[in-house]
Amino acid sequence: MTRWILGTAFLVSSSLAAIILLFLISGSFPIVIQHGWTFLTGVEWSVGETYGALPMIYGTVMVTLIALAVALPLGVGTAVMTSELVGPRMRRTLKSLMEVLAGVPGIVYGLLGMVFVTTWVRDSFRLIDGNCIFTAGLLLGVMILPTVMTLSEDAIHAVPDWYREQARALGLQRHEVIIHAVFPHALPGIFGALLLGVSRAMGETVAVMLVIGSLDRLPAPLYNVFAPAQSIASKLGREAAEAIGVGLHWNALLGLGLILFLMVITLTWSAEKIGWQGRLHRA
Amino acid sequence: MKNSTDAAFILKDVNLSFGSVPILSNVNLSIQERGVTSIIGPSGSGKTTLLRTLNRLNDALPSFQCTGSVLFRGQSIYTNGTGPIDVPRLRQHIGMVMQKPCLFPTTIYKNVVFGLKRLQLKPRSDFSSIVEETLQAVSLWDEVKDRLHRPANDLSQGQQQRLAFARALACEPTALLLDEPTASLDPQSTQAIETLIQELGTRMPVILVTHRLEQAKRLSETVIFLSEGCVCEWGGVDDMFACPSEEKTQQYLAGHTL
Amino acid sequence: MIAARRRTVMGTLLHIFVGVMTIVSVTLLVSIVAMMVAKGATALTWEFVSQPSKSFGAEGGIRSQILGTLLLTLGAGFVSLPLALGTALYQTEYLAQRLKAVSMRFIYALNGVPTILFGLFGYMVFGIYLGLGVSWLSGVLILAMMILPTMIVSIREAIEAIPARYREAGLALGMTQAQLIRAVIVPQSLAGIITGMLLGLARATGETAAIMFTATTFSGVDLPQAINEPVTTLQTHILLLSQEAIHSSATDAVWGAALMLMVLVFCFSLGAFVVRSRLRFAA
Repeated sequence: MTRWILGTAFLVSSSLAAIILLFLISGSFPIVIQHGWTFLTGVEWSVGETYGALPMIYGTVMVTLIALAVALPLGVGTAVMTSELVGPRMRRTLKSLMEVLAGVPGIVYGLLGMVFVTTWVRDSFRLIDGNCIFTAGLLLGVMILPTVMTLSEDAIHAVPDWYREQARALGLQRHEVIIHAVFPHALPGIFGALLLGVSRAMGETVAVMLVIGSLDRLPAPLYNVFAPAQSIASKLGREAAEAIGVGLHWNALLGLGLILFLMVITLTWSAEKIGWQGRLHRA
Repeated sequence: MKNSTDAAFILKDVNLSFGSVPILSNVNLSIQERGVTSIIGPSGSGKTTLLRTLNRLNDALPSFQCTGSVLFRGQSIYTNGTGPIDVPRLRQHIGMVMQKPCLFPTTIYKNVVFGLKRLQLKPRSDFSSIVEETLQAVSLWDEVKDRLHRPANDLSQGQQQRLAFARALACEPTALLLDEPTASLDPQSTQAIETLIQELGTRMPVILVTHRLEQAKRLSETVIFLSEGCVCEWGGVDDMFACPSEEKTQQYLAGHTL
Repeated sequence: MIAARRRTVMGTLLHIFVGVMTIVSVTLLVSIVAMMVAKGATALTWEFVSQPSKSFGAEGGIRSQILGTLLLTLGAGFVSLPLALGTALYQTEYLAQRLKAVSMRFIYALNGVPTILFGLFGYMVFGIYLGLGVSWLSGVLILAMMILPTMIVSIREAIEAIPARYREAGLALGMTQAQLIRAVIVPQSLAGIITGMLLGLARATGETAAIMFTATTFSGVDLPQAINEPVTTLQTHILLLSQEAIHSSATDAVWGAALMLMVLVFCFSLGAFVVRSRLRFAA
């Protein structure tokens, strides 16, 4: 009896991800039939006429890369400091701070980004408008920073002291101990932390939506990170309510959702594969 | 060797292993319906594994395998032609006390009735009299009668172990497995528990794993000596300690000052 | 000599880098909180918290928004807890060893799903197929799906941390698996269950994208009178005000609402923190 009740709960939870995937696949069928490959490669998105996902895919990738560039040095640097160079009390304080700050809602980042970061970016880089890829990436980088930091710190801290003592016994200095003895062992965990943070950045909607400029166009030239653009998540956030569940427009949005799902799932599973130990409640 | 029909446990050609690693092989034993039986042997010889085979507590360990037949009061407890074995029911009949007293972080009273309450063996109205009886039986009543509703973890190690006995006895087992119950206790508590074990041995089969030979000699009627993956020798306590027939037993006994 | 000098220089550089990164990270994150407090504190008066909003949020308070957020969040927790507990118990108590890793992969996958996709899925499945429309119940179900992995992982960790001797003590008394779960497993992992619940609630409270077109309407509604009516929430209120506000009083209101939202999230995550460190079972 108990077994069946628990088993039902288990089946429901385990199948949800697959059900969502099936929902996205079946929902995006019409757009794939209509557009074929041009759905992926098209650069034009105008409702009722043509749906090309490339600008959104590109925007998502760019925003995510910038977030990574921000969160990598800050997050891993702070993690090294916290784990190796400060005392246990300071470590506890920093960890608690980061774990609590990991919960700051995306909408709060969006609000701060809209009011402060866009103007700061506009004035510092002499742009016409601060709503651009760079602003969104910067914001996401700060947003995932606590996650990246706590998870990397977990990985570094989990390296047994034995390795440190060995290295010290050989006459290595403190930084050499970190670089040569601790880092190699913590690397898979740090990698996992980064992938997990990045996958979170990739799927963030409201924070990006408010600062990216919402322009469904590839930036020109392509490397111009100060151009307004669109990510998949922000596109979905903007248009889902308009499409109200019917027509090719809705199918096209589900197609975008499917692409996003596949991108994120790849990151999540890679993170798991390379040895991330699964502390979701800190992510 | 004894081979009575009045046996609580009979083991025939039993082999115990974890995956491909054999622990004990070719075990043939019978354990009497009354009296204390001690299992002795060097550490790592499989004493605890053998004990936990008798109430199937090894089942939870991954890759544990048991072949041959283990009979409890004439019924096989591992394989059965007619249907699945009711393992929880089997364990209800066979009480067990572990080496470390494992109490639940709640009150003394609740620890005593812990099994009773869940298994619904008795009406709730009987609980307080059962608590008193069993705590009397383990001679803990006088020490704790005024603080039955205080946390059990505040008790001393020896008191905790006696409480663990009370918890097992409250379910009225008809056989008892003891895994080094006095290994980490002070002499006084050990004394109290040894008296209890002897008293229980007059009513039911008690199987005691111990590494203290003097304890085995003091308490038990039968001794089983395990060594190098098999039952090396077993029999009456006096014969065994006086003139062991196997060389390995001689060496082992000689290595211990009695 | 030169080699020794270079080693020292390297060490100094590493220390400087790590130190700077830590200072920047901590400053960034602390200043986010500080800025929210500075901006929001003046708006966050008792009147503001206790009055319903007027003229689309430009005037009045945020009472309905606070209650709406709590209604959604607590509803989600209420739906998700039994599912999460059942799943975790089935995984630890009944599932064959080799299937555990596979089943966790699906839970991690669900955790990785971008929240906007829960919105799309819920809009279609709960809103349209099940006919719940844009409603409190739709939002509750969507958020319940979203926080499920957080809760499962936390509860599972707690169950796995129960020492084997507790299980054996129960089994040796002749308990069935079901009795063991009720008598030993659930009571001994209670701290983990509460922690998981609170972390889930914190996550649900901060979420905007999943509910903005499935559960909430931006204005015009107060508290729902039935479970199939829409709610209004702090998150969507901030989204609306931040995009459309022109009045300066509305700008104050948006900071006040954002601070309030952060306070709610922090309450849940700090609660989780306290429970996790205090309510450890006596091992």
